[in-house]
Amino acid sequence: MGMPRREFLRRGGAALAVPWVVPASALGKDGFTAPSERIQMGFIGLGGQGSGHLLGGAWTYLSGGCVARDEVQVTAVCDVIRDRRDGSARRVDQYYAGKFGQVGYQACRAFIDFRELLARSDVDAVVIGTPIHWHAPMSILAAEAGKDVYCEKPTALTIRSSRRVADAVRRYGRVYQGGTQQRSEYGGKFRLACELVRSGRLGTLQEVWAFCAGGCYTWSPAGPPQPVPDWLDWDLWLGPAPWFPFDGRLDSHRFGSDGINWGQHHYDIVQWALDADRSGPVELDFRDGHAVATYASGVQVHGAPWPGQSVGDTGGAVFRGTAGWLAVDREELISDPPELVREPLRAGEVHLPATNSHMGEFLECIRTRRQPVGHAEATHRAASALILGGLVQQLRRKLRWDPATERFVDDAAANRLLEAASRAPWDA
Amino acid sequence: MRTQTWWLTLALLSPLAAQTDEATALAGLQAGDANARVAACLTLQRIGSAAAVPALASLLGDPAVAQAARQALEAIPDSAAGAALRAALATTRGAERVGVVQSLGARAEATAVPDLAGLLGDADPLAARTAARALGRIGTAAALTALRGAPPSVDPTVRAAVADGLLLCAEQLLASRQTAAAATVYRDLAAAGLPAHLRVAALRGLYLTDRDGGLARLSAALQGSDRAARQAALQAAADLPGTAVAATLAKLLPSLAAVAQVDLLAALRSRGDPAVVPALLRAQQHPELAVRLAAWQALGELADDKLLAGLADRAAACEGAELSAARLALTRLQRGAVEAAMIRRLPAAAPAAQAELARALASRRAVAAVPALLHLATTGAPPAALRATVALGELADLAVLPALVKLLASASEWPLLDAAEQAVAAVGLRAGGGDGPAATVLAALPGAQPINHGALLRAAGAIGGPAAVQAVRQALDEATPEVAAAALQAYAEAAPPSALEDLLALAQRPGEALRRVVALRGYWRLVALLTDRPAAERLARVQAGLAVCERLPERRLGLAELGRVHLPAALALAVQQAAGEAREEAELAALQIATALLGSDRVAAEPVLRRLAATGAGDELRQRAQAALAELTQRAMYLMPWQVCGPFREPGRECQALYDIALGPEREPADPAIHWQPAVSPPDPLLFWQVDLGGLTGGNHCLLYLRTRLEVPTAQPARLAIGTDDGIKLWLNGALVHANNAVRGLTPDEDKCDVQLRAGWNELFVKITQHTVGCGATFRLTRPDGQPIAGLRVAVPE
Repeated sequence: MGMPRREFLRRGGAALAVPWVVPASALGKDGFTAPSERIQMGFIGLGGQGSGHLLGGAWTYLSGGCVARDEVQVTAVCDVIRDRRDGSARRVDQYYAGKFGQVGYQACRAFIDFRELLARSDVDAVVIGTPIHWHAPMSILAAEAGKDVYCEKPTALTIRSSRRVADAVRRYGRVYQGGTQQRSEYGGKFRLACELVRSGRLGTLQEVWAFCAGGCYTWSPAGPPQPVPDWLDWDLWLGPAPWFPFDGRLDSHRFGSDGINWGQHHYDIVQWALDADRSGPVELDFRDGHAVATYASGVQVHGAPWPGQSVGDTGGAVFRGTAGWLAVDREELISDPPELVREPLRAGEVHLPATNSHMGEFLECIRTRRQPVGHAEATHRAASALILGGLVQQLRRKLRWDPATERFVDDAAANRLLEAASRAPWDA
Repeated sequence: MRTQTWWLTLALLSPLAAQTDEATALAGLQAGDANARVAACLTLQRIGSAAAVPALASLLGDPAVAQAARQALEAIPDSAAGAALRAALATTRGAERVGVVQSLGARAEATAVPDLAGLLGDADPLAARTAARALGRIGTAAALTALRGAPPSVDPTVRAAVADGLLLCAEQLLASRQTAAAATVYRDLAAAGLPAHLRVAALRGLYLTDRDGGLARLSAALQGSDRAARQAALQAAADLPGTAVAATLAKLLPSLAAVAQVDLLAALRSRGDPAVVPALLRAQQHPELAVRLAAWQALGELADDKLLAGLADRAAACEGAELSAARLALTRLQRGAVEAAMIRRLPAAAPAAQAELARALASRRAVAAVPALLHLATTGAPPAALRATVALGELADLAVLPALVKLLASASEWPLLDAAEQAVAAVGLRAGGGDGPAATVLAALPGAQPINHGALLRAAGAIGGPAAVQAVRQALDEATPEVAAAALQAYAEAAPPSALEDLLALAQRPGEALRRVVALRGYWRLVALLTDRPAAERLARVQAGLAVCERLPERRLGLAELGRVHLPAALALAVQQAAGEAREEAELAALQIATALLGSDRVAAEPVLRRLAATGAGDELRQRAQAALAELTQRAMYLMPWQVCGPFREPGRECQALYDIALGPEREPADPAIHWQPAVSPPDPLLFWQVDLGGLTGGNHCLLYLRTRLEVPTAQPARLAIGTDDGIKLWLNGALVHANNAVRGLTPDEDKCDVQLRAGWNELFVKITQHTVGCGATFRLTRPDGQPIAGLRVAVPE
């Protein structure tokens, strides 16, 4: 299959469906989600991701950030780093001062401890952009506090904690959007790729190359101890992770291994394409230096880039079937033969929920109470696929997985690795 | 030494850390050093047996290792582990005791229920909350009883935790098919005066589990005014099992407020039961737009081919947002043989419905409809024929092109003529364009009426190919004015870049002024296509075009192109043009160019921006110039410009491993073939102070190198504030002064580095590692007190 990769669709392409929801703006006044009510939002974690969602920037995919949305009122921000916390609150207030023409406008409260933010009645929804070891426990506590949740990826570091996120969201009827924005952004390329795969354009799907290795948690090495600066709450930064002395490193991903940071994007798309949003692989193995997950259909998912097709700089996935292959990343959707992606999607083929703004859909769903495209169960299953890959990379032996019970089959040793104890009191 | 021990220990704390046997790990637990005991605990998580329990339990009171010991005890299946944790409740305090409670919950340790029940009334709210959660996870009848008997707490967080534990118990009852018992739990919770979100959770559970009255309760909640109950009812409406549910809920629709109808329609849609279609059809007649939209949305998923005729008629009667929703529904219908039904209905429908059907068939890519659409296009009433022609443009293939050309050659009314021209062009282009399909169009020219002759020429020009361009070019001198004008229009719109000189000549040809205008517009179209050509060449083309402009509109087009040429000479031309009739456009071009030059030629850009900020035409232009100047002032301390080389890779090495490998210019001796090029800034010109390397990486896991030079009048200390995506090493005058092997996004000023500058020129050399996605850097140089350095100059090496 040696087609030059640049032979991809440029024009007259597959029709991308328009969003398929009733806009909240069409709703009348008599309801408990009246459109005149702004969504009151709190932002937890204000580094690159969190501040991007709040104020705009490369990561937000929402021009101007949530603060610039008319339907949003940012009421609270939270970070254990003083400058981020106070600076963000100041910028939010400055924005509103300009918007409402009121000098000295004060609307946004700044918190060190996210529990205080969650306890507020003027927060309807939270955006979690903290270091990754906080994502799952914070999502659970937010759901239990009755907040809707947008959580950055990776959404969990163990399979059990990931399961508990989905359970808490369901139990409390919260709206949850995982930060796997490839389902919504990038011109719908990933959605179309999944629709084409699920519609059988590739014939019988045989294998998928998921670009990224699996990943899981690791308590990363600490450097030399340093005095804790007065601008940092180190104990809260560590949270559920084991305590050790401050060493100057505040990397968001320091407790993750292998593909944990980037992999959930890609495993999420693979799961979507395999119609496995409520399921997962049934067998895992370690072959040729990478994890291989086998699904019940027989499709094999490789935790590596396809040697024959380097998908673009931002990663993606390659799907190979009996009728050809299809590769997708954030820039391109290509296939061999090219007609596989050139022929537009027909009405009778699989149509997945069409959104064009991941955060925008989250805000829309807060009003409509629908579950977004990156809903909690799908997000949990994508996180699981990633973490299972991380575990088999470490065990380096064949494992059988039951997606229904979410346990390894007849493998007590492997089942011991589904959970990690959290430092008290961060048991969520 | 403590530092070193921590480093070594924590390096082993991955799930599968040490590959060792239990005896060795147990020996590790006895080590004098606490950190070695932590590593041993992690090993015992994986392989520990009952033999390891006593030693692990002895660590549960030690803050440094308790978490690791619990992780092992949670994993060891033997009941001794649970017993040890229970015993530790009496011997631990504070956070360690709370941790033990967590682990009992994680193990679902049923024998611990009495102990945990006792903690529900603990004076420490944290212990009480954690015990409630642990009991919920255990979920046995005894745990449920304990939670129900929890002493009243004045602490709302404890009350909420007990409620959460009860909800967990109810879920486990459901999992073991004890539905009635679960319903009882939910019923009691719903009546317990809990906060709204807990009450919603309880009510939702109640509606889903109460077999005797769930549906009735849900229905009453939908019609009532209790906000939490309605929210819970809507959540349950989509999930409540039973064949009668959808019909019962559908009957409720008319009695609900409009917003509730919208929500219930969404729930009915997600249930996927077509039995509710009659109710949907009634909802589609509701006075409120939002209800009609939701009804169309549901109809698109639940209606079938038998309803097609009626739906098409209804869609044809809609307008505005509802028309869009109706069209989308017709596109999405999937139940039954929908497209065959559409094709059958096409001849008999009223013209407006025919138009909607044609549109839907095109959206559905229903190629089988082409013959029927062709018949409608040639024989139908005007609105239907027009829409059928448009649909053919989207669906037809080369085999239908002759028929479409015939339609184009004979059409006499403008809307249809235009649609036929577009359809012919679209089909020809979809077939690959060029001489093949164009020949079919050109063959129809002889004998065509002037208006059709012109349309055929335009269609042939759009399809392209040498023969079409030549035919169009020859027709420029046709005697019939309509044909000549159409030919010039086609030539201006379709000619390839090689026709630049020809169009420039036509733009100066004596005769009718309008023809010169059309030619010059074609010229500007081609200039806009030269984006991959050197800036100097594009500037020359712009200058030549501006020289022959006779009218303001075409000069404006030229100045728009000038604004995209980011050269100092282009800036000078824009300033010069600003003295003429197109002052606003020329000043806008000057603003665009000056802003783009901020990173590379501040000397040329700044005076122009100052002039525009003070005297530019229009408030917006002055404000944009002022904003650029403000950004320039604010970012004056960021070092620009830079040169870059790379990417450099090493097989098998990822980002953080590449960090300590010298490649490219870092190697000694340096490879003379290394190509240094100017580093660029992000597309947003106001980010001129950032270096954007994203366009150079060519993939993940590589190195890039940057260099620049800076001159200061005197030797002095200074501070560099650095942001990089991802890691960085920075050398000043050959000495490594900063290193951070990070994987991160670009956050300006994230790293700080104090340096000593020498008088005169200083050399900065930077290594950047690329992990995934974006890549870039910022460098802000100040005095140690954060103030600007007087007399600083920055210039890249010659």
